[in-house]
Amino acid sequence: MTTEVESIVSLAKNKRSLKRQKTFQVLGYILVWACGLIAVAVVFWIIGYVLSQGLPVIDMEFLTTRPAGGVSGEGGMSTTIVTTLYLVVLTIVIATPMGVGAAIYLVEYAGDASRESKLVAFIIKAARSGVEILAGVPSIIFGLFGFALFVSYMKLGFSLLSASLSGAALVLPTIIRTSEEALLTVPRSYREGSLSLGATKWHTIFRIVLPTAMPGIVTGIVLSVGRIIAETAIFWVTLGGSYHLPQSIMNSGRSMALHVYMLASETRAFDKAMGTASILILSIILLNLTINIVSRRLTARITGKK
Amino acid sequence: MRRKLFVLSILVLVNAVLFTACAPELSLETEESVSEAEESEADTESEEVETQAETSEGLSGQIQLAGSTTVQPLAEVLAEAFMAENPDVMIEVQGGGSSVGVTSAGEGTVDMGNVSRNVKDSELETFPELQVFTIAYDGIAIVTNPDLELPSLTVEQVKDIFSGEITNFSEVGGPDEAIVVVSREEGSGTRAAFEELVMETGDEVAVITEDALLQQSNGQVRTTISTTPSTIGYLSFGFLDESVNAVAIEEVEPTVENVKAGDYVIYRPLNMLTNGDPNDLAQAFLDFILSDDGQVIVAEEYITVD
Amino acid sequence: MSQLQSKFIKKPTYVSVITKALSLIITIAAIAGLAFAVFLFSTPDFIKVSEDSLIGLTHIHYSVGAILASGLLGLVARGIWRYKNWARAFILTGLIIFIIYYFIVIIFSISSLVFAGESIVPVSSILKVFGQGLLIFLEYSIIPAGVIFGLIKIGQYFEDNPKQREFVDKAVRYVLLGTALSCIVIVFLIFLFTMTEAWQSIEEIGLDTMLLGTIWRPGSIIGTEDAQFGLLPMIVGSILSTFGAILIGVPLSIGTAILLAEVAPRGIRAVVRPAIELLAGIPSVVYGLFGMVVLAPIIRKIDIPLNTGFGLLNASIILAVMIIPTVTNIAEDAIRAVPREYKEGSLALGGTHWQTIVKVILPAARSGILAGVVLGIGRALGETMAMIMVIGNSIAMPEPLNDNPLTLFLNTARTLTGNIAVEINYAAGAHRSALFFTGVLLFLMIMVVNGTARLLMRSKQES
Repeated sequence: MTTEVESIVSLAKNKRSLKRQKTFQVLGYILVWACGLIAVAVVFWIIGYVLSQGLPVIDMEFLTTRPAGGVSGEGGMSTTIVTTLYLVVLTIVIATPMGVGAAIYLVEYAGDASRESKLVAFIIKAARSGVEILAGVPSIIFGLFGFALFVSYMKLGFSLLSASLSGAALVLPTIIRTSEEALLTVPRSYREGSLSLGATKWHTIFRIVLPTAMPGIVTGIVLSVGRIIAETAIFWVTLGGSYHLPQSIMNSGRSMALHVYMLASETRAFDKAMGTASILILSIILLNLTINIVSRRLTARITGKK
Repeated sequence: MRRKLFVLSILVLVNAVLFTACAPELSLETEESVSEAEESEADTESEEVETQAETSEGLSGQIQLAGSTTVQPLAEVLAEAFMAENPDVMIEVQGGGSSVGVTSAGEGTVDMGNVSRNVKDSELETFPELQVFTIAYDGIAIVTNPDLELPSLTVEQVKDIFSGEITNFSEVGGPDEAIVVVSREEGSGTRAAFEELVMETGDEVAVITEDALLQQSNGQVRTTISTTPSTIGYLSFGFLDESVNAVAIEEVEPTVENVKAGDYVIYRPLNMLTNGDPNDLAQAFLDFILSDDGQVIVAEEYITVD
Repeated sequence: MSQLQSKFIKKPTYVSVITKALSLIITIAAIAGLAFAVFLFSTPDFIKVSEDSLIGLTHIHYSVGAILASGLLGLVARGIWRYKNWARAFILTGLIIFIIYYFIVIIFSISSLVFAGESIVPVSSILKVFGQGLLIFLEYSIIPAGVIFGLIKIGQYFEDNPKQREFVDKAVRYVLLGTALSCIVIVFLIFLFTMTEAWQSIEEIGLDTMLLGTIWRPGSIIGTEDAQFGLLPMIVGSILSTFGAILIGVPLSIGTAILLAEVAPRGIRAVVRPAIELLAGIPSVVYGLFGMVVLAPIIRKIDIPLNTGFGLLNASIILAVMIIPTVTNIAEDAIRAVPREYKEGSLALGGTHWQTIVKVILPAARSGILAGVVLGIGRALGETMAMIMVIGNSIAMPEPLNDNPLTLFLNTARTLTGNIAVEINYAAGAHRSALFFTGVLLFLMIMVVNGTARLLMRSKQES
């Protein structure tokens, strides 16, 4: 605090070099604008290059044919799209109840519970730091963990199930965090009103608080979907690489991101790799747009109702 | 209320009867294709129809293969042919390298392991139940980037290049460029076979230089060598194409004929392993591979067992 | 209604018909289960493990299971007869699970038929299969759905008392507590499993060899002697690539953050911010692909022998781009969090905007910006897929290519994350254990980094 005051004071003393300062300012502005420009240019360069190389490859045949496997790089990506869909749905189904449940507990019950008993307070603190730790773990560690626990120890092998369980662990912190935020934005008056009308606590939560917090929770889910689609390392070691469509959750398959990797490294079909990557990027852009729209509705709801 | 209940129970009964009487199955057969099949069966001209009807009886199930990336494309083509004759069968082939083939076959994670070299004694000690079936032979070619022309090399020269003794292509009759060595990861059967046949010849055993770019499959080696200048590496015959330059060894071109004639010396067996006796489906697949039909497919890019 | 009421109020006929019918059906199922158990007792290979059983279940297990299930069904039948709410809930849950399971099975069958072939079947077949699937699903689910509907409608006639409500309340509380603990349980499991797998390498190879050894030749053909497990080249590779990423990425990010927070007008902000967010969403394989196909040829233009275009420079650039969203976001927040009085005071005293930014705002936002940088470091350390595509994966310790020390970055290398990803599929024994140790090492490094970031953020809040 004092250093800032000092610098303000020293500024006052240096009035004579105003012209110099003005030149510095122009230079500084140029520098800062350049940084921003470079950042945006990089975004457009990468996305533009991938789309320009990939979009011409995409046609109905590409989307509806199965990858031909091996090193030919022939065929399309139909099974990878469906496998990715399976993966996303399965992972979300596993992760959402756990994540939303955890968030509900942390927001609604944890306050009273920690006041009641020191042990519970400690457990809750541990749970909270668990969420933070898990949020920072890199995805390859989740892959390693999934490989050790689900693929090897539980003998589930390379399958949709092992991949989804590992993926659920990956997105759990995201869902918990966003759900917690969403639940916190529900005004206290809602809860108090419901309780005063005689409803039980869990009735209040499930019928009143949760629906109100829905947009925020949905944002978290959509964010997780984006993460799952983009992730590769974790599925590389738990899903396997079979180009056939998984016929059950115990079968192996190939997600779109994995397909990009395999096309790029094994075959020389870089154009197909770019095509698959374009589909990936377009899905991510779509998801980002959805998040923006949903969160805008969320803020409108909060500000509007208030 | 009574009438509603009555109507409802009638509906339920009718449905139950329909359901038990004619249990429909999901299938794609249209009425036209069914009648076509009947017509062709009535035709007595082709024996093929009869033999196909015989072989497609009864074989169903699923087997998984994993291991050598050299064997992978061959196994996939063989699997496609086998599955065409036996539509109720599903054969999944994955890569990972020959060591994956040994470990997963030995541990029972997959039904058959693919290995592109001889099985080592130490491996037989760890998994005493392993059975080895040779399905083909494959040569290893020394390849360079297509912009690089090299005269014939001796085995000794190849050894010195890959160990880092020779650092410039000019030393072996090529252009004046620093040598970039491309190799495989340690679990690769191709690498193990290469080490046994090239690096361990002569008086001293040499090791592959640690500056080598390491790739995880034949496909990746081919991609890297074809797109990066000044590279040299080793590649299975089945992956040779116009994107890389194959170098003659001891004045002998790397072709299937030369291996058969015994002139080209760098070759190794392609094996499939099972833990104990192969199960029925695996045995049927093996019989198919070793039959004339299977060996015809092998002969396209590799060397048949005889 | 309360227990008392439920016993004495006359219920409409259909209600008692439904409950009595249900109760009867369930009793029959229970008896069938018992009969099955008895039958199993009498089979000759009672103790032999059935060939296709998953976990080595013998017929003893099956018959014991059948007896238990029959007992449960009997209790449920009795509960429904007596209008107990728990029995109703039990049946409802069971039926709902049945319907959902069958739904999933049908979906899988439909999509297998449609997608699994060489190419997707024509639209007419899709509709046909869809119709067939719908029909079959309806066949299987119409009866359970009817029962569910019926049970829901007659729910009001079932017993409902405060004790039940309390029980449900408590149950919900404990279940939710369980889910809240899930994260810490997962962290514990991760630590447990990776540590147990890694322990063998710590014992057999030793921490000092792994952390300080410079040669990594695992010789993963089982049983090979003189395998060496020195991780130092990978540690150096990770550190150098992260260092390069910070060097390139942090100034860019801070500049962009200043732009967004202080300098840019609203319109520009509306373009730049979403663009940066988009950067965060691009999958890492796409970055790797870009590095392989676009950056490598560009870097190769630097005409130094042994420059392959892959290596630390390529990796640093890619990582720098990847951390821009993280660092920019947090730095911008930190800059915005500086109290307005500082800025206004400085301007009032005659400082230019730029002077204010450099001498007042940035120092005030110092800890927040640092936290962002530290999080960026964590992100860069943990990146895997992009790294194995552009960094070359050689096992040698990175060294400058010639006398110029800067060419260090043109050399290929391997990161800790890449080490795991590339070798995990085939590693066995001590090798595999060493890879898990690499994972533990990474985990600890990232925990330290993230903990530092959190400390910095908290200290910023306090000051």
